[in-house]
Amino acid sequence: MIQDHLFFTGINILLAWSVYIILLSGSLSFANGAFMAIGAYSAGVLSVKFAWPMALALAAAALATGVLGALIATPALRTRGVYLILLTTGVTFCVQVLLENFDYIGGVGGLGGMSGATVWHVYGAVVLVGVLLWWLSRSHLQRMLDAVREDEQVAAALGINTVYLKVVCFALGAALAALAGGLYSHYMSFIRPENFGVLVSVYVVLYVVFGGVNNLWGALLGAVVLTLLPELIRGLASWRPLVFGLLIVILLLVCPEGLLPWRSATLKSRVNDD
Amino acid sequence: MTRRTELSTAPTAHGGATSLLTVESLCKRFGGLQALDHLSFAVSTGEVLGIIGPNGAGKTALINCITGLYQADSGAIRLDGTDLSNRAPHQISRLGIARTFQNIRLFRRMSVLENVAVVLKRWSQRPLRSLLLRSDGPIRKSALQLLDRLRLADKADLLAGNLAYGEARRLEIARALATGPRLLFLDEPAAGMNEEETATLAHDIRGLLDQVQGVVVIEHDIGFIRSLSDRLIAMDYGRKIAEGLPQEVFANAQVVDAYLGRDDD
Repeated sequence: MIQDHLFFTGINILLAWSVYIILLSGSLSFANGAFMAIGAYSAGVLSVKFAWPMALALAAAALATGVLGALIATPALRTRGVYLILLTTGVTFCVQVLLENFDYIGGVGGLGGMSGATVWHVYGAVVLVGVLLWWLSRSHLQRMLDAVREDEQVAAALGINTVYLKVVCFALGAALAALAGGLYSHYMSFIRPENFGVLVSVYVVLYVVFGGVNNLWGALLGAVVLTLLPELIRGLASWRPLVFGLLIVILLLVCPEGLLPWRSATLKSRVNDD
Repeated sequence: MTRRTELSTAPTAHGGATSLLTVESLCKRFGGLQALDHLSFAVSTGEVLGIIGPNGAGKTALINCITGLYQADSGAIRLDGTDLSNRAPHQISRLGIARTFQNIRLFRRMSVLENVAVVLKRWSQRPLRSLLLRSDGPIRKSALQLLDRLRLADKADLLAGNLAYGEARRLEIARALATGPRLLFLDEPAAGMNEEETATLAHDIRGLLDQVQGVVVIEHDIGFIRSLSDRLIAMDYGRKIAEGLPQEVFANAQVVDAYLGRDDD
């Protein structure tokens, strides 16, 4: 039981980071539940029907979903703001319906037989992705992404290839969501399309907004708190969703930029500790 | 064959001086408004060209067309012979055109130093490779040099959003210089500045000519633009109504009309 909570917390951290990576370039994606589903199913098919080892299946699923993400992003990122939110939500709906109507992977009945993922695998991935994001957060690339997020037009007018950066972020976010999905399916051993409804996409965005969008710790904290909070207020029985929702509303009113709103400068005028 | 033709035609465009930028018959329409109406002009190497005109004359639309933010409906824009139409803004920037914005558009939540560092030409063109940089040293040094030039080095670690008005305008210029431009467009750089700040700014801008090959300044402040420009263009309703030395342009009846209003309006 504890192990399950730990596992889902880890998965949700990865998913929150997958949204965070896309948000780095200023795009808000509600398609990450769909990318998770694609990762879960494609890794599952590779290991169940083709007997690939799990690591290889996960890597292939992440890579393929990343490419798919780039293909979706190239036209989708012509839109922005609320239109991009609607468009990515649409992707989530489409993917769910596609999965339900595809008999090869079990249709509505689901796909079973995956195994091998443990809590250790998930937290290994969390540490690895965390280190990469931390490395990024101190880099010139982070600075360029911040500029794109602040004012895309100005960034482009001053020589930054904004479209390229946005597509790369979208692809990487999709790949990470797929990795989380693959780990999820190999832990659960049985998945169905309804596991990846639009609410998953919404929740994952909520983790990031709740924790703070300006640093990688916000997404992490948001995922941890919002995964464990419903368990902590389990005693409230059927009032639980109401209390949970109210807590989110109150927190966003009190700190609209999330729990950890700060952004640290990527460059100081004096060289201190590094 | 082609090369020979180019060689013979290129340097003659403007009174013997080499043309850095040529704009030919540029048109841009927004709905019922003709923002640019067959506008032609050239910027010569080494000059500060002033563009004046009343509000809505099409000055900013002109910069937006040249820098690729707007797509012109027709006409040609060439930087040293290279056609700029149908290129993305970042490509035009990399070819050597930089700009500032009339309604100051700094990256407000980033520091002053970061605002300049982020667009430094040498590093901004290869974003993914920058992950492998071993040291920030060269970036810091280049950015601080530019800040120093615009007298902002002591503000390097402030958030850009916290700068005073005149400082923010200077940071816009420092940031534009970081892209390593050949030609710099300044959109109302003195707007909102007091007289003293304006005079210093004029001096600063003339000083930029050792780093860029040409400067185009759009401005309302007549004293400022007169003291600063080698040549002036006056615009109204998207058309060029006068061109020449500052004293000639300000003596032009059409220009006086455009600025002070016509009796028959």
